[in-house]
Amino acid sequence: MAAALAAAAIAVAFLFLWGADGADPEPEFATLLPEPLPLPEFSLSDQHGEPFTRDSLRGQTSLLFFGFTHCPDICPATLQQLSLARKQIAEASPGDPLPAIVLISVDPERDTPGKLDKYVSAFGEDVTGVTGTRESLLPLTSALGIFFERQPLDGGDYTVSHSTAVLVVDGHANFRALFSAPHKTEYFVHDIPLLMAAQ
Amino acid sequence: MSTCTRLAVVLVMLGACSAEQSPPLDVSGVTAYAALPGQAAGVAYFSLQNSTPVAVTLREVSSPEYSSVEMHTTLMDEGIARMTPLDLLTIAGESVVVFAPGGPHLMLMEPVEELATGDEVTLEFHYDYDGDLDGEGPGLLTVRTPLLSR
Repeated sequence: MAAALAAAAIAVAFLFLWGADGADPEPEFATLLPEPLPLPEFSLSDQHGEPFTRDSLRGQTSLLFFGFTHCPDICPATLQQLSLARKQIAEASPGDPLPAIVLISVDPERDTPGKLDKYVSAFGEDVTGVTGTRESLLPLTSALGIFFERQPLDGGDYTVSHSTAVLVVDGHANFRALFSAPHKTEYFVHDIPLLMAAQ
Repeated sequence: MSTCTRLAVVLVMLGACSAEQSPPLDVSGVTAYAALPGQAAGVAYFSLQNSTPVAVTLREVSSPEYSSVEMHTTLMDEGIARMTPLDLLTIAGESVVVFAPGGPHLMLMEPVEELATGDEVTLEFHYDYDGDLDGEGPGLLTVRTPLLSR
């Protein structure tokens, strides 16, 4: 009787630890697309002035964020969270592949490659800054449902309203999932390895 | 007057002094980030607590280390961030307003001199208060905080 109870207790503990239905853990915070969406062709430049195209996203999972360097608030906060999340993922699973972080500027008039180079370097290695003309951005933003619009400020200055989602693009340049704001580092840390493992 | 009565009077006076010296507004949790390379402005976040029953109006924030400091708020609308200047900010009686990413924030613009991470900067909160304390009318609350890097 005692042995049976002990076995039952172990079974309950096992189910508790691994999920009541025995299923693998799943992303909890990202929204998965029903079907992967292939990215369209686009032609932009990275922070070194080198071409950045759809093919640049092949071979590694990428986290895309559309923002701009003059943004004081949500853009640096999001990039900081992504950078910290990637560091924590690396520490938790040494040797596992890590995602690239890509900031695509929605303020191409002010965000030159040189300016982006200085800016993205503040968030660690393997953060790419991408820019181009407004016209060259539109094929990508339209396909991904990304909104951006200049908004005049007093004194002739302007800011840019923009979508705040973080998009997960797999190593075949397919849009697979997105994180909606408000972002939290722990959301990325939990879901990104699961999303990468499922690809 | 008995000793006890004298003591009670002194305690009441001390209490009154304490109430007079407490500003209606309290600033806590100040976090200020230096502008990143290529970035036009630094940013500061904090909590503003109004412990009185009367509203406090924050008119502006200034800093001797910056040519200008602007109050802005980020409004989120169906996943789209829109930034709007705040001319005034009313902190209702007995309430807290939190300046945080994705919401109200201070933009620290055009440093008077070059600033680096770790340098201390001063934030001066200029407010109006219509309560009964001696601090009624224009008020100034000053905090110093180190600049952090991202």
